[in-house]
Amino acid sequence: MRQRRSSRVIAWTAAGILALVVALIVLLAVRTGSTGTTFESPLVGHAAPATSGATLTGAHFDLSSERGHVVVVNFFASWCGPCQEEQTQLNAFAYDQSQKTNGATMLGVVFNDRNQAALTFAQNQGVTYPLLTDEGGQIAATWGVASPPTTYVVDATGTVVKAFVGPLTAKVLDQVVAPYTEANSNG
Amino acid sequence: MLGHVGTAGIWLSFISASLGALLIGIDAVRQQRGGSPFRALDGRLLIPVTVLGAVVATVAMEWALITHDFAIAYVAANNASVTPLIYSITGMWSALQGSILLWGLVLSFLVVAVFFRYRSQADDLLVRWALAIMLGVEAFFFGLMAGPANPFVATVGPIPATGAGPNALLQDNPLVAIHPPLLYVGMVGFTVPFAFSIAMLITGRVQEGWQVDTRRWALFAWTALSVGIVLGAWWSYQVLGWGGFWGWDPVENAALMPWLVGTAYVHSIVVEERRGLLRVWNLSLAIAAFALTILGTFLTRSGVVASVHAFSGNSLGPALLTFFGVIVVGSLLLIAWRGDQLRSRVGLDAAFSREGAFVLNNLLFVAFAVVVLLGTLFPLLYESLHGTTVTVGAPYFNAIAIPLGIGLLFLMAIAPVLSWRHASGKVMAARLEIPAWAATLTIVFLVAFGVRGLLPLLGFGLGAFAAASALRTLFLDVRAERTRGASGLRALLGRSGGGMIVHLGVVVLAVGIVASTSYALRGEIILPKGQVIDFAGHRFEFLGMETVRTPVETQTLARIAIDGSSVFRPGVSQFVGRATQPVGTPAIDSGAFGDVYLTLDGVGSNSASSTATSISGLSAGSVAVGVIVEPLLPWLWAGGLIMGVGGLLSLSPERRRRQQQAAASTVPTEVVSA
Amino acid sequence: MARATTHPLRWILLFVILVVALSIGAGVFSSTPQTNAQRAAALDARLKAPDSNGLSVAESNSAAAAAVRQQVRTEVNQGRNDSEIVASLEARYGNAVLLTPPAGGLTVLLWAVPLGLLILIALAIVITARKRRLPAVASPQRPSASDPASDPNGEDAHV
Repeated sequence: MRQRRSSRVIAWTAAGILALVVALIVLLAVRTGSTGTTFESPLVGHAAPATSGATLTGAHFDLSSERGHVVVVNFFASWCGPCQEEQTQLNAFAYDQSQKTNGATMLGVVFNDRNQAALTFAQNQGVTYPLLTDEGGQIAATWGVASPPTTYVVDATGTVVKAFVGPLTAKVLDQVVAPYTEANSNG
Repeated sequence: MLGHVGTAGIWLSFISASLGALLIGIDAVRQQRGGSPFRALDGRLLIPVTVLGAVVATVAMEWALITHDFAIAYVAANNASVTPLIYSITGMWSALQGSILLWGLVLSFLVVAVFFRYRSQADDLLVRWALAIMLGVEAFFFGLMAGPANPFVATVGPIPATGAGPNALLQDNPLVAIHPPLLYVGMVGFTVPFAFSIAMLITGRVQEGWQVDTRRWALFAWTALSVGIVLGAWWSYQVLGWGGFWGWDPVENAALMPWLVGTAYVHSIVVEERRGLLRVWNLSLAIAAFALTILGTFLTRSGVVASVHAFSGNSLGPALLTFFGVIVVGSLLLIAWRGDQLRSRVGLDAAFSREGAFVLNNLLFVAFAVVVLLGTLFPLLYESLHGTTVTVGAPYFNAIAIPLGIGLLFLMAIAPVLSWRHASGKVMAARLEIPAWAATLTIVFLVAFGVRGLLPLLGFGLGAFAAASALRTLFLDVRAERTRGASGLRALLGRSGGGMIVHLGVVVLAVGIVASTSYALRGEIILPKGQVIDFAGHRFEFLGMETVRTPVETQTLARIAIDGSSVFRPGVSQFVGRATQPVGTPAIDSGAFGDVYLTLDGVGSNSASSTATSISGLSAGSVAVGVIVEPLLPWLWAGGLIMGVGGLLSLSPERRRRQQQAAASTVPTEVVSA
Repeated sequence: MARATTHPLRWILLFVILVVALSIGAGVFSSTPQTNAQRAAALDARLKAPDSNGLSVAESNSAAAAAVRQQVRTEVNQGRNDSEIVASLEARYGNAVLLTPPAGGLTVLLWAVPLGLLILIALAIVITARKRRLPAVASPQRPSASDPASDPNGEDAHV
């Protein structure tokens, strides 16, 4: 009797642990491979913070001058692995958008990095869109950026509509941006 | 050329390990069914071949790194022509694929060691199964290298003149040469208890004490892992610049979890040895410890968790996760099938006993491991459900660790004086009286000296309690040895003496943690040149800037004199090769009573500095220096060292037992058991 | 070998001294209210530097951490209470400034599991303590290489 009861205890305990482990493995399997995910930025639905300054090439850039276009703002760093991963995608996206009328504008912002390193990174990766410097991290602080790569989508009225953390692909960006650029073209 | 040699070595190990596992496994199945194993095709002959392949691959990799052979992509990514020799050597394990090679190398040596150790029982079915399983694990890791994690992939495109160099944080401190190998010896070491546990489950033979036999392997792995983790904490303390040594980082937790389960295991194995209890529990613990090392490897190499430590690259994730799944599911099925036949027929006599204390120890350690796992994986779970990232940081883990640490310190104090089977409160109280007074007087002394804070005082008091209890046991052991006519030092060998020394090391470590985290003082001081500033009980003076240029790095240092005597140079380093940001190099004034930790936070604008942050508003000729005063922090490293020594001492063989006298004599000079 | 008797009075004296010392040490008899700086420091330890993976703003010396510390200091001096300050920082930075996940929902799991484990352990202790003692039969396990080292002084000889 005792033998059967104790064998049941063992079997049930093993089954319970098995269920937990299977759940764990499913969770990890789904998560394997990080991609960009939306994150609940408190900015979403509000006006984008005033953002201006010098770019890496010395020009001046002001976000408010882009009013009337959809802007994709990407905070990056040269030392950040996922940023390196996504850069070719961002370049492709930026190029595609530049070929459209009323396409989205890309803006990069240097995050917690030396300008020289960011410039080298940009040159190696062949970035063509403006890259804002942010010494002192004031811009990152006002946007509430936690870690790179963080990407925001600002619609034509200057309202932040989407926020992502993690590497994005051109396809995803195209899909995300499409409703806002279309509204822009029509409206 | 070297790339081909290396790849050949890997394939040699992969094929021989797979074939060996298969052949020995088939032999084992035949033997289990009553047949006889093949004589002609003995898979065990392939075991040295796996070592040969691993060594060939390792030598090829190291040679490529030392000679800066950038035709191999791994070398081009982790080495530069100016990289110093030591960091070329350590480059082998500084990134993903090379770290797997290190794992494989250690594992191949371990299999040979096991084979050698049990050579007189080589035909025993259980040994066959254990070897087959270990070779299977080895085949998996070499299979990873033969496939997705090949360290010898050739550079695509033109061979660069110089490589990218190692990650900056991996070439500014020599501990990179010790911590990873030691940690791997610890983690890989748990393969042995695992293999033997599975072998025991398959053959159904637990009663013969095989679990206890593999205790030494587990102790060895545990010691290496303990020292490895402490060294890792020391390393990150020295380089990361925030003055802390443990961040509950997922990678840190990945090493901590097997350690927690391993600690439970080395304690509960004593109960099995002494009373024959907890057999199925021990099997489960040994398997869990190994499974956690695989899970940890997965977490750090799959990109699933974000961490300053994590290796980049997603290619290994699915393979490691599948391996983890196979191990756990297979083991659970085996336990469900065989577990009941293997249980001991008797249980605990009483909760209040040495066994009871060990069981409680186990429950607490395993519970802690579960909570650490939960905290580490919670952000993933949350993100899957809510789509947003959250952090589970130090406040959560500390909220669990602090009460647990207090409970464990208390347990550590009373367990050595508890009797087996039934402990008596009176006897325990009599034995603990002096340690209790030691604890009380410690607290009184500290309070009189102005130390405040309930939790730290409890920590110090319980530490004194546990230390006094361990010293008491050691003292009695030494006296007993002397009575037998042997040198008192013999008492330090073996499990009891070594174990008490490990406990002493834990107390020293715990005191260091309590003091440095409760009473640390932080601040940032502006030091104009030549002016002495007082802060946190020390005097600081900025003597001037200094630039050091070597072929591999440019260092911008600030010379700071502390208390008018020694000069320390915190600074910022820029390494050639990668387009990385500069890394801070803190300077630490270590003393027996604490550390003063300096970081260079900024220099005045217009200062000639290529690397340090310039702070506007800070006049040229001034520096901003971060100062952290951490009392008793070096006790952490001392404690780790003592734990390592104790662990090694506990590995030495027991004095052979003489016939146990049945007398109930309590005359102190008469030795009952030896 | 050790005296099997103990004097309860000595233990009572020990506990009294212990309690008094710990009370003094815990600050039961002195009370200085927390200064603003101390409040700010306590909050700094609870907030995450937004650009890190788990460093608190007290520990990080990045620009973002300095910005958070500045805001905490300002709001503490303005007299706002802790939860208001955390809320305003959360409004600006989102979850990135929290070191523990926001309360409610799934986060309950983080605290329920340790609590549940604690209860299970307590139950296990209680159940084992109440068990009847098993008869002291010679157990069938191997009597040999068990542990001389755990009792070399014969302290447990009579067990």
